[in-house]
Amino acid sequence: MTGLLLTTQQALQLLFTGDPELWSIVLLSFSVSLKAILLTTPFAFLVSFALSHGKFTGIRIILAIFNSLLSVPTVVIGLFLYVLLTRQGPFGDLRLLFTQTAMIIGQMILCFPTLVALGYAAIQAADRRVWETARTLGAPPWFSMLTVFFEVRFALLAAVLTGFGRIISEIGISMMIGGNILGYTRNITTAIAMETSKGEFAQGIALGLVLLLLSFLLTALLSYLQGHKEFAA
Amino acid sequence: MNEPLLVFREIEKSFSGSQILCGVDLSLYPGKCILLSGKNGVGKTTLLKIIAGLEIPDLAKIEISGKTNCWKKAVRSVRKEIIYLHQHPIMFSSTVESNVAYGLRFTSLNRKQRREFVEEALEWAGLTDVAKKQAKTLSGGVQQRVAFTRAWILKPKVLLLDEPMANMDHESREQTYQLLVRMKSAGMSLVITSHFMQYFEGIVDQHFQLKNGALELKSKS
Amino acid sequence: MMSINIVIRFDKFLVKKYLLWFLFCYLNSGIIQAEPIRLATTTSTDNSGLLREIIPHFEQKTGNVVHVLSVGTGHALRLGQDGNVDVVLVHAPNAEMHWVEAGYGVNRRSVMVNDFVILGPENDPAGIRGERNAVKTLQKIARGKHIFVSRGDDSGTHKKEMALWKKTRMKPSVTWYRETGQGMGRVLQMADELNANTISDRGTWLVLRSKLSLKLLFEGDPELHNLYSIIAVNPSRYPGINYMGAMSLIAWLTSVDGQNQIRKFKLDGQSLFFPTAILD
Repeated sequence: MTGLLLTTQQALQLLFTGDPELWSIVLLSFSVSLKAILLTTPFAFLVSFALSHGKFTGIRIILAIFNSLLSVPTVVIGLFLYVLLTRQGPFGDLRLLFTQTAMIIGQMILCFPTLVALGYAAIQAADRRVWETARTLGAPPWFSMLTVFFEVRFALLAAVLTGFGRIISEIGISMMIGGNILGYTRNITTAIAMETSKGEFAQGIALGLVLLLLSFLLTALLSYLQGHKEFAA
Repeated sequence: MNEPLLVFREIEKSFSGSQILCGVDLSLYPGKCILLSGKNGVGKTTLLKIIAGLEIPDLAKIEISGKTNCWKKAVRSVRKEIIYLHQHPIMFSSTVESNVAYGLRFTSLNRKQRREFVEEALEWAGLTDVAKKQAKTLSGGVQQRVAFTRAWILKPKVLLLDEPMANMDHESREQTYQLLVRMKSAGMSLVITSHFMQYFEGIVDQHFQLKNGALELKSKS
Repeated sequence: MMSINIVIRFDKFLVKKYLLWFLFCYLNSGIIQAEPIRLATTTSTDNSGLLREIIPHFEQKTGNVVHVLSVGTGHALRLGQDGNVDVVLVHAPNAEMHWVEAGYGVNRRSVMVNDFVILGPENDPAGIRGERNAVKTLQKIARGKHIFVSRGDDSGTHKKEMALWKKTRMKPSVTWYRETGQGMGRVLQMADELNANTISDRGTWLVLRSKLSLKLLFEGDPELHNLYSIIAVNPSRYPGINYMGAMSLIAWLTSVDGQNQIRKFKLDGQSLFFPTAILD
């Protein structure tokens, strides 16, 4: 027990003395995941909207596919991408393997189904009259869509937070196609895996605490948004 | 009667097998008001939405100044002049002012002109003292007025109102009636669906009943 | 209602914005002027902290950037074979020779040597302290059926371990032999938990020994020598491999400067690696 306490103490020390290596790892996690979510969100919500308002055949099937992709294990995505990005693979010439760009792409793929599925649910719950009112008042379709988004903004934000939570805590993709390169593709999760496999629990715990804190914050924000939604007119 | 603004011809629409509208014709005249009655669910709202361009008919033609075009081609230009108002209008999550100003965004007015128009419209509807309030928090009657103003400010040629006086108290009905009178005298063509013909006495020029997918002329003044 | 065509038209407009934004992110995601040199090495090498210590010297001197991927030996060679890295630094001489023969790598140079050690619980139930050679210690462990934790992951350490077992002419049995498929640090922790014997590279042992109750029970047999070599990935297999960078790194590691850096590196007060490229 004292061993654990000592390690936790060391961990907190690392965190609060601003250990540069530690915080560069944290920063990398955020940088990669933020870029991934920001790049995916607009397109994902567009797809959600198309699925919600569209009148083409196959909507049900597409939705079913997205829902089933919600819980794909990240290692599977990582492996799949590795095969595509390896030198011998179809996209090998892009030399994306073991780069941050590859991690961003992987995380984009990871959060896309989540954003589409939750975005769809949010838009479905929107009052159809919002769209109709916007259109009849002269708004072009794209602006009417944005108006609908604004009306369900809390639900959409919840979708984004959920997606973000999923990608910042994933390891399967980061490890496989990031390569855990120090200072370049080492993020919180790959660092934890590595440090603990080396027996360096202090760093592992410190990073784990950051991740835990983040997920608490996300959960709190999410429940705040849920509550807000309930009381909104 | 003067020249019709628009004539809709041969409107056909079916939902899951049943034919709601079988070849409906409707002519819209400036400054005239049409009352549309009929049983619940008979298709009045659908008809209005097709006219507004919010619903796609199976078949329809639009005649503008004598030239006939199929609905698909003509609707884009025609849609700009027609505004549809829901029975229970939905307010956007912003102030009354912002709601009223919504449609102005897509006109070619500059910011100063927009602000003037909005002020004028708020005065017209008696909404100046609630201008900065969140529209969603206001009473149904006030929201109805906001919806009218939202539409009126864009000076549409045709205004389609779905059950405008349902669930209103006497005072609100009076106010709404006055607004309708002013809109009519401003030259707008109104189409109103309602069960309550008595509320619109004095402004209705033509009364049609939608029955079995066709319009029956009930009265003409 | 609306037609999907309209939304798709807007999509095209968005797509342009997207590509610009993506390009921006791509450029910001750490693409540096000089092309990085990708080095695949083993976890035990990386865990010792040697590369962490000496690579910056190389980087400063030559202006190159080195990306170190630390994986198992088998994986490192595979990465080189697939052209996903430019150079490999491993410690599995047999596998390396086959690898070069197969044409995957060129210019293999010996860099340094350290050794493996055999660890176990303080009270040494298998009685291997003071044994004569490594093979005999493993035989004693097998005969006594004492728990032994193995890497089981095709790493250099594992290959060495397998070679030793072959020499014992005994086959480890599942009842006392634990194949974990894990890295060295993890294996040491597990051996610690299970009060078991294991074989480890000295580097990882030195790094972790203060946290473990395991003790060093056997060392010194030449059989336990661990030879590290660096090999450039064959550039004729993949155009665009950073061959110049790889050669530059190899040149430095085997130069007087590089070899001195290796010699100077100490863990826990002990010298860990002994340079072999330049024999004095």
